Amino acid sequence: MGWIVGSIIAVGAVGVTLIYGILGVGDFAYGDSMTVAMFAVLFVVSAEGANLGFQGGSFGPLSFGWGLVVGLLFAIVLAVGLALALEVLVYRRLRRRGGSFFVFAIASLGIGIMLRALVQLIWGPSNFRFTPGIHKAIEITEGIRIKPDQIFIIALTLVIGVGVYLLLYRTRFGKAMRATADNPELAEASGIRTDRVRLGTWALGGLLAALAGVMLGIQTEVRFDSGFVLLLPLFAAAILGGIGSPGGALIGGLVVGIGQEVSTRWIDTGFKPAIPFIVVTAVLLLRPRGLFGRDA
Amino acid sequence: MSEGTTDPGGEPLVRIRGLTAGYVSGIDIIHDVDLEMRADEIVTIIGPNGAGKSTLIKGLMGALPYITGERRLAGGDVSNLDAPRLVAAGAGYVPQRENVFASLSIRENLEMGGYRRHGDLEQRIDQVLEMFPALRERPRERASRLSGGQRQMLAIARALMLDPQLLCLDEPTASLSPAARVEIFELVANVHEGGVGVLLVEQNATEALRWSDRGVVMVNGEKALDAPAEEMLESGDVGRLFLGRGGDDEQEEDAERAAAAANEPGEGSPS
Repeated sequence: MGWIVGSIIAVGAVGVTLIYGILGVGDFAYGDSMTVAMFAVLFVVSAEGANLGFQGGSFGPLSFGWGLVVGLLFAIVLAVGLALALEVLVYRRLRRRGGSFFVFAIASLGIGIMLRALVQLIWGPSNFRFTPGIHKAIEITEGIRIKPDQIFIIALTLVIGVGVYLLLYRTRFGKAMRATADNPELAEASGIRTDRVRLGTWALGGLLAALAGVMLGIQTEVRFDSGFVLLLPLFAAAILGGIGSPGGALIGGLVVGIGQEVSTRWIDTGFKPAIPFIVVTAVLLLRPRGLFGRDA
Repeated sequence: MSEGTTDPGGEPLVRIRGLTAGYVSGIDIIHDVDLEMRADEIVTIIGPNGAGKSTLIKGLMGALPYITGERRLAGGDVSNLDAPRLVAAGAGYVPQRENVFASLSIRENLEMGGYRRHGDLEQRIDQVLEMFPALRERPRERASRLSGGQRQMLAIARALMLDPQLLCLDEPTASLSPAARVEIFELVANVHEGGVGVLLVEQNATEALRWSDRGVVMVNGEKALDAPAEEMLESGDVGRLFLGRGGDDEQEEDAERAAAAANEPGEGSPS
């Protein structure tokens, strides 16, 4: 179980850490962007989508089929569009006025509240599922059982991790993203249009939010605050990995996710959400730059 | 690379008219500055701290929030261009501090310098590295691990990636050892030989003027003097007022120390 939750946290944490590292924004609306993506999928795979002819079938042993693929595409378009719109309408304007980290953070907090309220306004406070019914787990070895969906989630996380790495270290645009994170003025003095790099970073952040949101929706129930409750684990993972370090965020996500699940052997399940708090506190006290972070 | 002293239209490489610039609206750091330079010149901007030397370069490069006035580069109007576009138009810029991407490798720094190049990036990296043997040996080294002098070289190499016609350098020898300073000046002279106009801001004013064709003195955000470098080096007044004790010639030093004692120390105390 820890691996699954860890994978979802990891993907979201990569988005959080990129947005922080390259844009200087602590995006407290990130969880809610995931929620928006989840409901985009829900819209497509539920009755509304069925009327449009999207629902249908499932891939082999997986619980989902083409409906989810279409839903995922819709979610990506929505989450990326949302991120780009917020950059143009909100963050860029604040940046031009010399907005500090705290200004961005508070703005994102407000955006998160609005997104959450909007989702609740439309769908109410109920729980939903992408696909109803029970999905059987398969036994890999004795005592270890895993659902096909969960194998899919872990595999997708690996693909995303490799993809983000290749983007940042092997492509021109990815290197420009790292250069902008390193020194935006110098990036401009090198001829890099940092406004475009920022848009690209938001788009990538939105894409990762959509993927993380859909993975979360496959694994758990969908609720207006599903993404929001994951916000602290996301930041805990990003901070543990060294904020600004995508590889660190990936590993940090797995550590936080697995830590949460393993902790239930010793502490009551109800205290599970405290684990990210403890992680953040411990990291900030013992190693503020995180496991893989650059010097603070 | 540019050829000859002027572009076909007969205009100088750089022409600035009435340049006024600053960080905050209404608070000018430089005011109404005119400046012209040809492609076959090395021009050094000197002046006391806070006189607006760096601001002049940043203003020319479009790297400030508030800029008014006319800026022309190689005959083209660049008054409305910001830094990325001006770099694309042929002006290389090496800022004073943090002028390399510390977390990127040497090679990646050069790739970023050539971000606007398409197709022949690899070729240009090889060409530029030819000029910088110290960098060529270890292209995958992170820039943060380089010495001060090597960083400065990487910064210049990065700025050369787009074949600029003009190279603007903001205190390239600040906090370098005397030997490294000479290396940088030699390098700059070398780049200049290749047909690149060089505009420098320097604290080590005497040393810089020796490598320059012309000096421009900034005082209180305005251009106070614009004269051939030789004249400036010879002029008692300029030496006394602006070159401080920057000279490393022993004969000069006594005279300059006396001058400095009689006046404010000015710029360029040797590091």
